[in-house]
Amino acid sequence: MNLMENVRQLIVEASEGAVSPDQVLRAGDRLTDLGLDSLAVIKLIVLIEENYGIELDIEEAENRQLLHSLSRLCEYLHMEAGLPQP
Amino acid sequence: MPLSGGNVTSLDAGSNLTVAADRGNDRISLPVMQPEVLGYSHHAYLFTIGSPNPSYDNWLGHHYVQLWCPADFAENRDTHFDFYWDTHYKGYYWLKTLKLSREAIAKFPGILEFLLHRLLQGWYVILYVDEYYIPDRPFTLRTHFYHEIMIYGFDRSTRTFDTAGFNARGIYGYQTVSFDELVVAYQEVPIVPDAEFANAYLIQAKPDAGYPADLDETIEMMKDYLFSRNTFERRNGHLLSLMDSGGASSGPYEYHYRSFQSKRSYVFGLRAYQELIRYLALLEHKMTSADIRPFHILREHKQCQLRRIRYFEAQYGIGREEGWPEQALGLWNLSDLVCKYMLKYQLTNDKRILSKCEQKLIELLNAESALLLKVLERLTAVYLEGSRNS
Repeated sequence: MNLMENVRQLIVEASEGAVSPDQVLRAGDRLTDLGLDSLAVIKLIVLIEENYGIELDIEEAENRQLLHSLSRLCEYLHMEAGLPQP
Repeated sequence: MPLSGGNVTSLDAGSNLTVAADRGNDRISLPVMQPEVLGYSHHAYLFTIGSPNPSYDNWLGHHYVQLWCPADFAENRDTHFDFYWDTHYKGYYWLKTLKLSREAIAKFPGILEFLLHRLLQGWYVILYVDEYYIPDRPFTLRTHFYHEIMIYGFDRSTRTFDTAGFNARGIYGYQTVSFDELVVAYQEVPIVPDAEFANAYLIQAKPDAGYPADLDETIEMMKDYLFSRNTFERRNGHLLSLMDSGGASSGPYEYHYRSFQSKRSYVFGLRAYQELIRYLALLEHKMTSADIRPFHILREHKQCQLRRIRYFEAQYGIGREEGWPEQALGLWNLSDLVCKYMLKYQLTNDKRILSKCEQKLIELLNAESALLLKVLERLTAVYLEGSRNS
């Protein structure tokens, strides 16, 4: 499973129903447009930390707009956490 | 009794007048709007009613300035960190409020008839119910808990009320509750004279209420906040003196005297930040439980402050060049960050997050006091100039 698909699954889990498992996500999708509220976004951060063994500070994520879109998040995970390219 | 699993619709931020009034004998749904403040239901319900009246903006520009909490807030999770407010559901200039006892309501043929009648007259109704019987609430079918519910409409064909409140996930929104569920939930609240849950409130927006802005009082309230002055004593000092000298510590006024006395020891304004920091320290040592509501209130306070500074700019022409609205937005961003950290702490129990929260609270406190000192100085000059010219 590639990074993009893995992150997509985490988004589905964090969203608690706002994003359905069979929903097609595009790289440029903004997470807020997918219906993720602030609690879901924090859950996503926690899931990413648990799944990839990294620390993702909320302030840094906001300042660098890491959660702006699916592609931006994957790019960060690839560059900073050394995960395979999406 | 089976619960209907009421249909909850959460409110979108910024939405306005989401339900149109549909008057008739069989169905009515009074207008509701996204509340400006919803950290606690006693704020959320009033702001859900809101008002299209321009004096609403004027009023809000001058209110929701002060914060307070009891001196034992950090230890006691039954206490509230909150906006300062004088009286329950009163003092809101754009609203007309009637307080009714359960005895007064009992003069109607039944609570159902009372509610339908008052709703048809255009009154929003806030009354205490046992949440055990209300579907999708924090205490549904778990614990008997008396809490306010706001009713803003009904539909005879489906035998349901339109209500507002917090659902089981703690999200504020709309919910339909069946007639039967609501009647049982009301009847299960015990009759205890003088208890707050013995009261109900009828509220209407005043379409033509004009608000005469009291800049002097706004300045005093801002000073109260900035210098952590006891607003309760400032505004009720005469009553407190009367009570002290009149021997109210015993006899028929003892209850009110004790209530007044307890507020003398409340913590006000910026000093309340220290209570939040003390709370974080206790949380770190597991001496209290995690509660995000105080941080929500803090964020809503920064939201009201941002609104107020924009209002001052529009009304009195101050702060634009100095970038005060942008600075106030920065304060809101910091408070939002603190809320997010607290959410993350609740999910992870990672104590390191509490240190970040404390650091951001101190940053917020310093930046806020610096900004408010400047605002207060300019606002006082505006007031003095107005006084000289009038």
